[in-house]
Amino acid sequence: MSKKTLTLMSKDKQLFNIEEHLAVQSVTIRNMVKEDGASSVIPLPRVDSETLALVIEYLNRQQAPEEDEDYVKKFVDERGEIPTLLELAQAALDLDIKKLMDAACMKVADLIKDFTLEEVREALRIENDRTPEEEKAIRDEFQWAF
Amino acid sequence: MARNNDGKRETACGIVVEPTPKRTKIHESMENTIIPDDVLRNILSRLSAKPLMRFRCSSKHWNSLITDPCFINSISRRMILMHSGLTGLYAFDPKHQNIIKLTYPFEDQIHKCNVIGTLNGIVLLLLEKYYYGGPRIFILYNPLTRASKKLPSLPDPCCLLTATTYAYGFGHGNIITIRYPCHTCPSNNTYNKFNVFNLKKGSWTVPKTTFKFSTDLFVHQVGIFLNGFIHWIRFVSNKFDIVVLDVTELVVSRIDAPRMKVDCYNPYFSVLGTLHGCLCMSSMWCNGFDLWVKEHDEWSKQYSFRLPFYRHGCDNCLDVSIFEEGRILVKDEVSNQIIMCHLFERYYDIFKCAGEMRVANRFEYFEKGVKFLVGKPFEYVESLLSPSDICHV
Repeated sequence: MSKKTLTLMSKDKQLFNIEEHLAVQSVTIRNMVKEDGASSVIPLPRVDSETLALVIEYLNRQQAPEEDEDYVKKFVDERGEIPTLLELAQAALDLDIKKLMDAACMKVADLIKDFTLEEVREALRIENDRTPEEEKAIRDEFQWAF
Repeated sequence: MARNNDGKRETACGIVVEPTPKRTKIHESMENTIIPDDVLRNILSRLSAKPLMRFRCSSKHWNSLITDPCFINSISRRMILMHSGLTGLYAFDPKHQNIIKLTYPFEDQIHKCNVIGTLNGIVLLLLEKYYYGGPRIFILYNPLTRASKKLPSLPDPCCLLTATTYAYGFGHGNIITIRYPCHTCPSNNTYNKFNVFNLKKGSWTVPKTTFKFSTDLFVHQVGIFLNGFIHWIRFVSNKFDIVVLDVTELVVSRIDAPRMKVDCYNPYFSVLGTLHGCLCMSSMWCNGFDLWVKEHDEWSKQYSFRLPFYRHGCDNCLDVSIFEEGRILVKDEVSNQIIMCHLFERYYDIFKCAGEMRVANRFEYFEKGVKFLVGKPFEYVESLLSPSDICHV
């Protein structure tokens, strides 16, 4: 008996196949499969193809449950660039894959924890809407944190 | 990963992947995308206080995410403040099983620090000079944000010439200090006096109420607050009793302590606490404790705990503190361990203390011949509340 396969479509309209029993690690897909059998293509409008390929690679892992924690940690460690990790976290959020989401966010937190304000703004594309006065007020109040 | 002639890639599991745009392109396209708040919150929840406070500055949106009470509640640690008088403040985090030395901006060689109480993540500290008779300074301190506020000084400063010591309590937003003449000073037959600081009003009052209990025999300086009353254990003629202060009426009375066997050498290790909204008191042994609970005006022994190991060469009682929900913190300075007993669930966790934190037994000091123990551990839950939020002065 051939295993049932699902097709996921990235935001740039690329198609990815994955076996259903692996895909349902995503709570979002599990719910879709439950509702309508998900015979058609599942569109993921916020996930680009490169990220989706990573997610598929993660879902296809053949890990024993007890090694899984280490695997997911290693998996995000190897893709340790902040933009990739953010994309991965967002994809994991949309697909509701908690372990992947937590691991990606943990890694980002780990990378940015010693960043200066300027570095974190650049790395996470934060638009600085603080006036210099506001910034100074916080800097003065929490001198120890800078 | 194999690559076909037409540029398509085949992954290990046989999925055909279309050629992907180069990484740089993706990054360019990401410039317009906004990181979802759920992702940001997840990342922020994994940062410690220092980067969190710093990143509040990065944008208004980040500030609102970080200071959102729901977010702070979800990440704030429930800690037990333990201080050893001389070496500053430590916090024990039972969930993450670690002990953190808290930054505490008042550390100097002149003052010893005592914790009088906690309120919504703010710690009420008392600084006293090591030598007898110096001024007493109350400070509200948030260990998470490190914001602090010095409260106005006592209206009734301790006179250097008369032997006077203090007992403290904190409840209903009132700081109570009781000044009492020392028993080593025979000529002194004056009475005890209250000073009350109301956090809302931001000022001290000196009520006319006085009482004549020999409060110099209080076992601990800091009393336990329960249902509008502050309780202190007293040790008189080799027996315990309990002094009770009505915080609103400022009326003092005494009640009996449980009829427990008293270790006359170590009465200081018996402590008060609350359990299910009832007053309770521990009787201590060198390898365990019993817990007496006062229900319907009757004391009964309801729990007993014995250490799972033998404490070699130590005849000191265990140092125990009672927290809500039947959690009892036991410090064993011999094995340098902290034991957290969960009385209701009937289990305990043992934490081995490492590094610079030694399980300090309660710091003992003598003040004009009177022996005190300071260092009652207090529980607090981290918050971003500013000391000015609970007291505007």
